[in-house]
Amino acid sequence: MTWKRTMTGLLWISPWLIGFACFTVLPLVLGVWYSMTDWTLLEAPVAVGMEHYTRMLHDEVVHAATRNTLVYIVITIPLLTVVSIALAMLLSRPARFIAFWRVAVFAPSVLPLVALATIFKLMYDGELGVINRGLEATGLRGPGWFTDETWAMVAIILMNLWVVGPAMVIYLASLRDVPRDLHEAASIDGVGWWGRLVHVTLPMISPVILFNVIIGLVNAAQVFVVPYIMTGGGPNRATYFWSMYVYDAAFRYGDMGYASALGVVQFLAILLLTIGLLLIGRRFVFYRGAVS
Amino acid sequence: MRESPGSLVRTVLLCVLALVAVGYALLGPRPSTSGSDDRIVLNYWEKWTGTEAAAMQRVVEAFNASQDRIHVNYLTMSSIDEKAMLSIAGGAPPDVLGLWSFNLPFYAQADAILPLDLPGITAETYAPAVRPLVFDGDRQLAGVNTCSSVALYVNLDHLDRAGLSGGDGDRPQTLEEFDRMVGPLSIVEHGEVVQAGFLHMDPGWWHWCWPGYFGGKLYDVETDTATIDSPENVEAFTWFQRGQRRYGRDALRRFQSAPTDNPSPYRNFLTGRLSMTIQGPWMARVIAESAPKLNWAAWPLPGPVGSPEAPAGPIECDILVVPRGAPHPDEAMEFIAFTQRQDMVELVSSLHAKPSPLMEVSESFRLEHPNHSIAAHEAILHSPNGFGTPPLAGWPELNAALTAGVDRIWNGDEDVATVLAEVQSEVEAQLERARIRRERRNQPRFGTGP
Amino acid sequence: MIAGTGAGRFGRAGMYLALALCAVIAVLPVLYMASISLQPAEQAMSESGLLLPASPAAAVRDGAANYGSVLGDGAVDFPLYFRNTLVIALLSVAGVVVSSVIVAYGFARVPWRGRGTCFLVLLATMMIPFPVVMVPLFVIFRSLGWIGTFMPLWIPAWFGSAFSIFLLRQFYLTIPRELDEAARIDGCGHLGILLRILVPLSLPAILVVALLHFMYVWNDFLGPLVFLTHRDQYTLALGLELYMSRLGTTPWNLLMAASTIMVVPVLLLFLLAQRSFIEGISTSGVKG
Repeated sequence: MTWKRTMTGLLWISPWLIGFACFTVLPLVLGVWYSMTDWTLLEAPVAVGMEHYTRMLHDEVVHAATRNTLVYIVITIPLLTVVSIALAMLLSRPARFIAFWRVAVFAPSVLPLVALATIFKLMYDGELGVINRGLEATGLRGPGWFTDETWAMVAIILMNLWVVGPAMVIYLASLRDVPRDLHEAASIDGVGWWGRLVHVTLPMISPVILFNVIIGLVNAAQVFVVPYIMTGGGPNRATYFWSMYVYDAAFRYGDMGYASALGVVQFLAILLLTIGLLLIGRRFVFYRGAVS
Repeated sequence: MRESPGSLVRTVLLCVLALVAVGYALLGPRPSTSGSDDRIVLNYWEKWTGTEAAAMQRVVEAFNASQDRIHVNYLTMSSIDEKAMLSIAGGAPPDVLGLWSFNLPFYAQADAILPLDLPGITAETYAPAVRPLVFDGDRQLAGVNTCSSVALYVNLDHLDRAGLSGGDGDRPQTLEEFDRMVGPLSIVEHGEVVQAGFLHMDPGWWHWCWPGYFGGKLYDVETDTATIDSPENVEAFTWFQRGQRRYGRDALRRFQSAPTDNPSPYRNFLTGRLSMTIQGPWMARVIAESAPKLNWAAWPLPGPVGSPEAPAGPIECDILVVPRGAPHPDEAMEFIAFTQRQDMVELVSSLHAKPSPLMEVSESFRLEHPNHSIAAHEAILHSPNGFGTPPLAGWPELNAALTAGVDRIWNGDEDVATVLAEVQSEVEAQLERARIRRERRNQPRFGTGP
Repeated sequence: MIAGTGAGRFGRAGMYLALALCAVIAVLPVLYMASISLQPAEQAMSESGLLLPASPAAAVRDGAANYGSVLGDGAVDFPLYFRNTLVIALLSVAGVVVSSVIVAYGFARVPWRGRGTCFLVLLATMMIPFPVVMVPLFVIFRSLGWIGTFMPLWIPAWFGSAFSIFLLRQFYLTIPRELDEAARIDGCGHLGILLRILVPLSLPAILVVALLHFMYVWNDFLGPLVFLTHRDQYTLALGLELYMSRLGTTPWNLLMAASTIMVVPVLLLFLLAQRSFIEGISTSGVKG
């Protein structure tokens, strides 16, 4: 019986299993092997054991990249979660011209990230940029966004608010499934909107929150395009993230072995954090469909 | 799902859209099947885009029209690094690859490019400063697409207004004279920079160049050691830091908080807020496109090293190489030889507004050149004091360490010697690693091989 | 519904205010992009040109020039790139939707040993930094003879994407099991439950998967860069990159015109798809 069930399960996921075997397993195994070699990418790799992993412990650039990436994750994920849920709730209410509001809020997320980062680069411009000019109009003096170590990080984090579109749409689709009768029952019992949010809406969409938080973590931990285009990692490595080091080591410094080791560590770190989130999620996520 | 008139309209619209999309996908424009004859197809990947790519397109077209044996398929992209390295590693490289001169030591040391055998071309064909960038001893490793030297671009109207007549006779001959000019050109009001005379970090592309003007080096080829914290370099970067202190950190942070790439680094110069800046020869094209009324000239930047006759300045090349594993190496060299013809070199250089990398330059090239100050760039290019990036496979990593240090010197109040000493030790570790890596595969260092 | 009881007119005014504020802030960079695409080159980077075109007439004139130059550029064949991208996107989206709908069912509704572990492995595939697997992937695709074709860009999609499978699984899990049981009593097998219960009920989620995957393929840069070898195969994202220059000058106005052209189809798609996210709630909105 168990055997038959397992076969049924494997059969259902077989499309993914085949793709996984062809396009993921082999590259990943090779990637782990490369991380234990000295490889310029242009010549045959030479085995060096765990050398790259011990080097990482003393690498100042790794320390800077780790610090920056952690700061970025810790600030970005709560920020994005709150903003995208709030926006989805706002946009799930019946309103006139709802299509217009939704398209407007979603629009910046549609842009290729390269283009959006380029636009923001112009907007963050210290003196002529829209943002600092706007601040000036209110009597504030804007910072030099890309020349100040702290503000450069803030600039990159803030830009994320314009790419909440995918998360927001996912919340929007999930809010549709929150049963109305639960809300109505709670209203009749005199529960305010905050109470209904915390006790009805959020638990009902909690599987989707878990999804978005994990995806957010995976993306934030691999942030690359925006800082690469906006600041190039500067000033003084203040916006240099882990993925940028992986990329630079691989394609600019000709050190694919070290890049692979950095990538493997990054992979394991994200995996550990995700397992942690899943364990926490077990306590807080409510699966209607899992009750048997 | 509940059916409503709205959802019906939506369904119809979606279907129509899907039909249009599928129709376009099936019936839309088709790739032109050029080169379907029996000619050998050479794949040539170049890193340029826009007008710079279009200039090279004309050479490719001229070559394709010149004979009926080979057809060059010209592919341009601005992110060439990953594609080039992956294709060589993956065993499917193009026949010809456009790179930068600073990439060459890395590719050469890894034996990833084929030495060129171009009929009638020797090291003496090229300007002296260009030779070490594409030759390793007697072996030619690359053809030269274009080359450029960096000069001082000056807003002549600003000079007039500040009472510093901008005639060629009055151009600064020494660094002291130059520094004295910057003073009256710099205007700071209420903590805001209104006009800057000169900024060492604007645009920040050549922050590695300052030691070169002071006779300093970042790396000693003979001994394979880093010389980041040499006295000349400390002197150079102390001068560099003084440039920041003239305006004040916070004011400059706003003034300079422009996008780190172009054209905005030029912007302050083009909009008349920056009087002098170092730039490449393409600046003439940028000015013509974006600020045609600007009254400008380009001079060599004076330094402790160099003289009016033999000015100092950084030099870079765009190069053409044949990667290892190229399917048609002989034909690729034939194409590269074609691009090195004087008329072709001058065609591309002129469209890029750059000087010619060759020794022999035609009169018409100079007369019709889009950069009216091309003589300044040529002077640096042919000067014994012109300098390129160190011939070092690990240059990009060294440069990254230096950039972080330069940021600290420019943005902070840190002591120059201390910062440079820290960069020095970081770079020493890099070089030590590079030595170990070479020994591991019994590889000679670039420039010391057979 | 979610809007509070008794909030009344004040609540609605507040809601419209919030909507307007969010919309304005969100759309600012997009408008900025459109504005630059309607400016001449020298204005696009000068002091006065950072906000708006000089006049409506100038906007029409310069806009026509910029868009005309992007669409008629001899070196950058946008109509062709548009078709290429569309071909890849349609093939890829179809593949992801079909395969993910099936695989997610295996993770959500079929109880089997090792499912949890397998699911974690699925999640883990999203966390692999691309540079680490790029070279092996290139070698695999090369040995399959796929380099220089569209195949590396859409065939893997037919084996599902971790993101889409994960998303659909989470949605399946919010659908009550009692519905499955009812269907089973009616004689439905797994396939019947999937097609009659889960797919109709998670249609918005499937639409989201299709939309987001379409966006991903539409904007993907690295894949086409690495795997395509002929200019006639370029996609829009690669075409866009042709307007960005590392040296020389980036023509901001053309870059933004090209970006605008690239964005419009996706926005249109979103406009059509978004209505399905509201029906469940809006029908009940009058109560409360």
